[in-house]
Amino acid sequence: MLGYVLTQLDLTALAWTAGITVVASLYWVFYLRPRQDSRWIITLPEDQQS
Amino acid sequence: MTDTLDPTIPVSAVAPQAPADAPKRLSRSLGVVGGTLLTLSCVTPASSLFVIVPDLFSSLGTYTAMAIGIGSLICIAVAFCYSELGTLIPSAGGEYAMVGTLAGRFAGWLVFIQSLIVVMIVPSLIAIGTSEYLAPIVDVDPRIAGAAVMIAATVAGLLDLRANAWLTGIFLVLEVIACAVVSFLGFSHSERGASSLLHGVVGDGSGATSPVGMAAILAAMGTALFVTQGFSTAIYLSEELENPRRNVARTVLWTLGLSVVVILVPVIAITVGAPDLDALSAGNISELVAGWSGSAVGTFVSLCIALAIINAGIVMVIQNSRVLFASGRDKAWPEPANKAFGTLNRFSAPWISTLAVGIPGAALCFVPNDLLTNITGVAVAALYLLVAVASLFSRSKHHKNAPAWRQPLCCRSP
Repeated sequence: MLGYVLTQLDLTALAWTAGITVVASLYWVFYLRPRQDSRWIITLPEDQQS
Repeated sequence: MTDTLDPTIPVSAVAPQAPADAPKRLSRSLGVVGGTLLTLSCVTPASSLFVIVPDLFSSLGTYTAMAIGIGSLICIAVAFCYSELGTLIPSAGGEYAMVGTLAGRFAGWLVFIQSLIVVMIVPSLIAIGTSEYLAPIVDVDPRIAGAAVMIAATVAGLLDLRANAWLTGIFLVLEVIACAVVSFLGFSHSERGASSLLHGVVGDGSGATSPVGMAAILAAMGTALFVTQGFSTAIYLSEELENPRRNVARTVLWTLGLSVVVILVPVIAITVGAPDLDALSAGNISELVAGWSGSAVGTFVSLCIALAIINAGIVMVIQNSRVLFASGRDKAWPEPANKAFGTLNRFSAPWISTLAVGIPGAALCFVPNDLLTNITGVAVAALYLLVAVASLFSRSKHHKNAPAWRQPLCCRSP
């Protein structure tokens, strides 16, 4: 349903959001992914880690 | 999604133990009532009603309530996903922590980006709406008023002027009173029956009307989803809720339910009470209230709304600066940026994060309102979609037996 809703939305807004997402994905591919050990480390509260 | 977690890897491997000098975890001291009220105060449903909903009136006319109703039904399913994930991974990191832990770091990154789009745009959108409700006392350009509210909110954020519980509660009460007054006035000046809610008609401003179909509702669904967006922020409190496995779900669902009531009842009242379809489609709630009640009550309600919007702007800038602060903590950027976003001033406010939210926010007030609304709608729909997909991973082998609130009627993957 949400996927269908997405296809019906304003094209300009879709293009802007897609553009931002593509740039962010490139940042992930070329910067974050090669530095997995030191970047984008998702932290969880201590009582949820086990 | 190439970076999906190996389900055999325990969660702790993804989220390594915090170093000894890391901040201590938050105290679990909130119950469902406290969590719901706090989330509602941040959601500020009245700001959605009085700023975002008028756009829906102009495009959907009498179908506005229908669109919000359908959006709310979708949101119930989304709330189930949030509740399940929020109880499985109760983290103040919210969506990206949940999705990143379950569906992989790349998925978490995409969720973070969609959240960032939403949190950067929404305060500006809300702030732009201020001028309409200040109109009874001062006439000011919406963009200028919006930018001024954003700058004021940024200054408040820099000084860490967090609204205390009492002040936040007072603003919430003011909002609810404004919504209740609008509802009462709308129903007491009813011009058309409830059946009008089931027949989509919109006025064109010159007395003529045109029908509205389901295609228009779908096209506006991004905005309709955006209207109730915010209920999910209850999961940001999941590190502070007592018994999170049970209370996160209850808080999310109660917040959604109350938000829908506070928004939908006045929308129905306005739809049946507007003097004509042109007035309804113009979506000027301030004028409608003044027309129903006389100028004094209209002015009072408008000023209540303006105050609620300004409060919402301050709360959002402060809250959203914490998103950037958290991204620096989670090392999403090059080290100088991570350090900058984590820098606190003498008021213990993350001042660079606050400026990074507030100054672009003031600039965004000069971008066309429709574009901002539509982009936010797309980002919200994409965010919900990613959370829904991630919820499927919560039924994977590694997580399916983990203690958590489980949504009803959901598939069970092997």
